[in-house]
Amino acid sequence: MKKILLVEDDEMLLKSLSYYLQMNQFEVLPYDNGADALALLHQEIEEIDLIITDLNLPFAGGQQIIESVRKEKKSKLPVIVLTASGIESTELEMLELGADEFISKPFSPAILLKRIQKLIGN
Amino acid sequence: MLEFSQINMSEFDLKFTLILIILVFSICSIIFFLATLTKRIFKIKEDKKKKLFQIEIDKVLFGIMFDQDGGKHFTVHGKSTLFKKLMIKSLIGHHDNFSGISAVKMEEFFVKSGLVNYSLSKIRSRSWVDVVEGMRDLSSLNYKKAYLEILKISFEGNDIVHQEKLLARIRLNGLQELHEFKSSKVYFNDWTQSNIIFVVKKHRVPNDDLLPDLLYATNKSISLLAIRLIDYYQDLSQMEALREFKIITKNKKLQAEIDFLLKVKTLPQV
Amino acid sequence: MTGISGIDNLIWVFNYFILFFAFLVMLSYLILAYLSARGLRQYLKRNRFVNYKALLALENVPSVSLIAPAYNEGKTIVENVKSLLAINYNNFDVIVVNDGSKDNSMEVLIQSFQLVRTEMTYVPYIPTKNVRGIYTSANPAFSKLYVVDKENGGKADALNTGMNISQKPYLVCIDVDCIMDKDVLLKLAKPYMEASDSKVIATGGVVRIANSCVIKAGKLIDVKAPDNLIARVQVIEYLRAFILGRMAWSRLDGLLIISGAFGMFDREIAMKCGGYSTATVGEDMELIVRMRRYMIDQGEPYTVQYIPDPLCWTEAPESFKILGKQRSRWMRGTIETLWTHRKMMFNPKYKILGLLSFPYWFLFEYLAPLVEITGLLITFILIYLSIVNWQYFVLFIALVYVFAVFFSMIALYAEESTFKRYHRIRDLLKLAFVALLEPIFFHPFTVYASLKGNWEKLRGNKGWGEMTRKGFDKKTA
Repeated sequence: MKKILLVEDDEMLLKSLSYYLQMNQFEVLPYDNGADALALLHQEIEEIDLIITDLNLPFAGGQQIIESVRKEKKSKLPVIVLTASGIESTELEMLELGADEFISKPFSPAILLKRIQKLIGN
Repeated sequence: MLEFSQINMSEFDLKFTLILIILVFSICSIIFFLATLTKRIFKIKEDKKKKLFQIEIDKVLFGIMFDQDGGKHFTVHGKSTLFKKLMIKSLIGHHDNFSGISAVKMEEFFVKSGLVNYSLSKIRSRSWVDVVEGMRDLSSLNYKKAYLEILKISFEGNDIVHQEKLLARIRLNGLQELHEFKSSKVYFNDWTQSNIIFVVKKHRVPNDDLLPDLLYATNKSISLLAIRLIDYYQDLSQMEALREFKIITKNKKLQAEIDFLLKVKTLPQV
Repeated sequence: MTGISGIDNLIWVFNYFILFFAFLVMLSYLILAYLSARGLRQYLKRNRFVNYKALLALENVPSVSLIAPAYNEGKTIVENVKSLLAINYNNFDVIVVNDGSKDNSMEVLIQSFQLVRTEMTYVPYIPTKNVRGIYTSANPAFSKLYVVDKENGGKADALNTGMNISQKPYLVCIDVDCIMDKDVLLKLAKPYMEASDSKVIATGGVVRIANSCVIKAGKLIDVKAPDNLIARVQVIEYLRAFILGRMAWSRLDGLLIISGAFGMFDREIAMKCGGYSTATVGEDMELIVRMRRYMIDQGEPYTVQYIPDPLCWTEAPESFKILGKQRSRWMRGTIETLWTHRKMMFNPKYKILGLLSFPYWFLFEYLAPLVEITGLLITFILIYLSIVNWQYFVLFIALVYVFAVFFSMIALYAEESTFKRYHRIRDLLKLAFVALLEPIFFHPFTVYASLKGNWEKLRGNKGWGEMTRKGFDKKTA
């Protein structure tokens, strides 16, 4: 089973997405803040197959997570960024930072699933 | 000269009064302390209850959103007010987060489960707090049938009700709701404007072809709002109308806003 | 009784004077508490529906500079600056002013944030000590950060330097080691966006005590009652001041100070007034009084808004030594502000500010400790002359004690009815317990410290009273 690190501070979205991804046969590591997620990344990045992260997070933002991943050994680890709608300029910056996909909220779970499958298969 | 200290009666009264006041304060201290504890204990119990409810709610709602036929026969009949409140909150949360079929399913569930009746009873309440909550919930879950009833709501002089009413109307019926304010004296301050734009973004309110008309409103705060909305949608012909308006208008504040937004937009390309 | 009618009358008059003063104090406290409670209730009822996130939808929100002066804070500065940069807002920058630190603050900042010296020229609109350099980060992730390195000149001078550098219309001046609510700027900015006919010149937020709270990466995770007794009493003290006092003054439009630690204000007005005064140790309260006075003198309509939500958490002194320095400094600040603006006293031009707030401040903040001491001295004399009426003496003491406890209990109850930050029964019990002790071990000390402040003012001691802080890093480790 593929492992997904999910970082999102909206508790409701974190729960529902975890449920949805688990339902679709992924193992999910849910985190509600950037700092804890970063700590995990440092330790067991090898175990993780994909990261889904929100942009605005408490303690450490999505930008920091991507930056730190790109510095690690497993620098090609795919990252999907969830953004609140209407932050176009940030999206430009994010492309430069090297996120693989953007999904702007609100989004359809089916589309997220397709993007995940495109990046890492089932 | 009068010897004050010899008035024994007064001395006795004073002593007695002092003791009385001390007693009253002591008892009141204890009462306030106990009331604080009671409140906390009640709150802790309520939080526990909320947690249990939330588990139940999540199960039902996840089933509806992601499974083919989960939660079909669920009804809130007989559930407590706290449960209903929590469930509506979750519904709106999921509705805000997801688009597509999941969002539509949330809207349908709101009606089928009977939660809609709870919200309808709120907008008919005499307390403005309930009315605001009801309008917010009904419109956030896109219950179009409530539109006419919301339109009739009036609370003289209560700005929160007025603002929420306008937001609800925009959610349910789109930006055309703004046109009646073109020549009104209602001032849309930045706080109200940010709320309107937030609703437009969050609720994905569709663009309105007549938006450029609002630029020429006599109500200058409406013009300002129109500028911001056109900038949000970035529709080519509307942007053209915006540039045109900038040349025509003599209002410094509006010109400055257009400059600010256009500059913000072009910066990343430089 | 002595039997000598003159002295007996004097004692009688003295008794009644003290009694009258005590009742006046108690009554005013109760009235203020009542007004505050009503104001808070209304605020919370209206605020239930406020969605602060909506503010982020607007690109043109009031733009703000956060000014954070730092002196010898190398231990914690990086973490603190990071948490400032993480504040939830569209339009702000952070100006850290290194006030000639003797430690490695500057090196740590340069290294951690990849700072490079800019060519920006420093224009001292308000005169300050020399600026050695202005730095920005080479890393776009820290584009909002400015660091100013300057010669040591004290807190007011550092704040003025930040004010000179800022290009934004609004300023928030804070201590770097404050733990800020992540929505702090949204909450402080909202009143500016709602303003229509009168200009908002300042908004102020509530400060709470962070000792023993769980803090992670510069964010408050869990609120607890402090283990240290001195810090714990200050929780009760702050609850009383902010929940039962400030709200009422704000409703009466007589809010003289935006809380000691922070507020957001209009940069232009502050600059027109000449910025922070380096001549006082109470520069934050003095500036706000000066700004209000300026607006009234100019005849411009204005408002000052108070935001009762806890927005900023700070570490309180845990020893009598540091507490004493802090309190005597506050007293000197009060004296200096009152003296500088003495023309406002009973001046109808300044309306409620001159007729009520100013005299109140004079009477209860400045004079009360002196009256207490005078009362104590007279009591000693009476004891020495063995003409003390012990029954009255005990009753008076008991009355004052019971009232103090009673008022603290109201504060605790008010907190539990409004912001509810203490989640455990245990913490509430701890706070209630310390409320019983406060009048015995804490209050006398604050009176002593106030006296010392008076004395130091007379002697002309201007020192700022160095605050040795434990630093938050210990708790995060």
